[in-house]
Order: sequence, then structure tokens, then C-alpha cells
Amino acid sequence: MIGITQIASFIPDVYEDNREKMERFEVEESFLVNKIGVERTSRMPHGTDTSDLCVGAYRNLMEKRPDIGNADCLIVCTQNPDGNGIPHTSAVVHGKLGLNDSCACFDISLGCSGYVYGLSIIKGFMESMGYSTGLLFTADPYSKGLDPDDRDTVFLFGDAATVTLLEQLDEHSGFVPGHFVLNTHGTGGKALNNDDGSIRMNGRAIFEFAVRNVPVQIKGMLEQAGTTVDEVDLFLLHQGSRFIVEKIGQSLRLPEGKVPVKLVEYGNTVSSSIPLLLEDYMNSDYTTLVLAGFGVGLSWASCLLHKKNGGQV
Amino acid sequence: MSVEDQILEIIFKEAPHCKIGNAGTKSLPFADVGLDSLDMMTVMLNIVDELGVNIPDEDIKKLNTFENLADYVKIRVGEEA
Repeated sequence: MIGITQIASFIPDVYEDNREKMERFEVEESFLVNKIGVERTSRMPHGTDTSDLCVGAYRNLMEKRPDIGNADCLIVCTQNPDGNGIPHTSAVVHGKLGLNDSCACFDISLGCSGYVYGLSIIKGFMESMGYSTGLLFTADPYSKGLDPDDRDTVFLFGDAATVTLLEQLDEHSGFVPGHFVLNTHGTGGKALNNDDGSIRMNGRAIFEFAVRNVPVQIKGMLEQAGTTVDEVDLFLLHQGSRFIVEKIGQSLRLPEGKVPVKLVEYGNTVSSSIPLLLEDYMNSDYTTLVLAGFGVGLSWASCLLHKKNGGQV
Repeated sequence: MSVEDQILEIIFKEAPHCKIGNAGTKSLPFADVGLDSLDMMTVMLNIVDELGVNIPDEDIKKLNTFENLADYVKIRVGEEA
């Protein structure tokens, strides 16, 4: 059985302070803290690229799991690849890490729903290929395409990368992902686009899309899985903003403690936001988690994680 | 319940501490009575759901006071009734 046995992340040590932008964009501190929920945004350092963020995450993974053998596959979820996208960033990461030629590598192009989609892809791929070790990276540095004059995005997006280690769980404790529900509403895709070389977001359209669709999808997924909201320990939602996370939680009538918010120190990190949260709970006593991502596409995806073999990972 | 009362109920449900009350405050910009842009996103969403009035993006900026919003919704409820 394939499961998640470890997660590591990399947040570059370069930040933009959102408080310094408040006056220019006429944003009040209470709005910044209580609604956007982002006090600073992380930024990829000049002279580095998406693959370097991935390498940083992998180095941190090696500190947690120095015994990892050769990876059978390496997937990078990004819509901001190295250079102009050729070669694919997963191959660039493969080269920088010096992995074996036997390792299969490819990128997947998804935004904020990408981690859940990526888990479904890598799990199915590893099972069909008989692989025992896989790496799923997320790295989508939106700073490459942010317009510094755009009030809708400049407070929100931060750069980060994560790597999720998936292995056969015979010898390991870990979370088994399942009951995936993956949806798309392509006619709404203009709400978050990069048509003119900069990220443009219609906040109202994204908000309405998320609040209308994500709770419905989660409820349907739980029903299919034969479980209930009460039986879930935590709901790890894409950290679009504090406001949107809280609204989805309220819509599901969840107590605040079941819907963690974690973006104040680095911002909305797109496909990295869910694994950044999950990393915190890998060694917890929680056994049943819901993951839900939503955004670019418009695309939304949810799944259920069950811990197998218990204990520390 | 009147359309105005329904909108007030929607607003107070979202922002119980906002200062919309007497006639004077109903002509003030939403920002001046304690409603920020994200509060208003939720209010607009609930107006769509509860009153069945669609509010296109291009009209949103014009609806910056309670009076403007209430007049806009009243006309459309009348038109669609």
C-alpha cells in the first residue's frame, strides 16, 4: 500500500513586508491581519529558479530521512517552471539532485488544487508501475508573474516548495490518500489568469466559486467514503486567504480548531499550502484528515487521508 | 419582510458590529460604517442566493452605500417579479 511517509518544505529567507504596502494601497491593519491573514510574503531570491526551491525542500527531506534510497519517480507540480518550461522542471531537479537514470520524471500543470491532484496521480502511477519510492514536489513561485501595482495579488502570494515522500507502508507509518474527488469548471478560468504576463485575479469570482463548491465537494467525498465531518480530525484547506479558509469552515459548520490557518508568515503558496500544513501533523495523533485545494482552472479537489501503522513517521 | 430589511438582515449576519442603522448612515460608503470589501463579497453572495438578484462585476463599484444597493436590488426584484 502506497502512503505519505514524510514531508519537507523550503521557504526562501527573503520576504516582502505587507505592512510597508498598507498606506500605498489604503489597506488597514485589521483587514491585513484578520481578513487577508498575510503579514509578509516569501520571495524566491534573485538568481534562483523553481528547481532551486525544490532542491531546498529535498535537502530538508534528507535531514528527516537520510536513509531514502533511489527514487523511482519524481513529479513536480508547477505552473511557473524553470526558464520557459523546456526542459521540464522535474528533469532539472533530477539533474541537480544527481538521481539515477531509472527515475521517471514529469511535471503536472495545476495551481492551488495541484497537491490533491498530484497525490492521486503519483499514488496511481506508483501502483501501476510497481514502484516503492516516489517524490511529489510542489513549487509555484508566483513572484515571477506578480504585478507590484496590483492590489488584488500583491498582499497575497508567497513562494515556497515542498516535497512529499511516498513509499510502500509495509515498514513505515504514514497517511494513505484515497476517495479523491477532482473537479473542473473551465468556463470560469479567467478569474485567475496570466494572460498579459502578470497574474490577474478576480477575487470576488474566486471567493464565490470556492464558497459555493468546496464545501459541497467535501461533503460528497465524505459521504462516498462512508464517514462524517465529526469523524475527521482536521480539514487542511488550501490557504487562499484567512477569510476564505474561515468561510469554507463556517459553511461546513466546523469548529475553528478543525480548520487550521497557516499563511501569516509567507502567504498563499499555491500548491504548496496544503503540504506545508500537513507537514506539521505528520507526527501528530490525528488519524483522519481531509485535504481540499481550489483555485486556478477553475479546479477543485479533495481527498481523505487515513493514518496506517500509527505512531511516529 | 421588505427588501431593505432583508438586505439589512444579510448585512448584520455577516458583520454584526457594522454601524448601519438610521437614515444618515445608509447614505455613507460601506467602508465608513465598518464593512470592508470582503464583508461585501459575502453580502453580495447572499443577496444572489436569498433574493435571486444577480449583481454583475461592472455594477459592484457603483453600489458603495446601503441606499445604492437597496435601490438596485428593489428595482431588480420588481423587474423579475
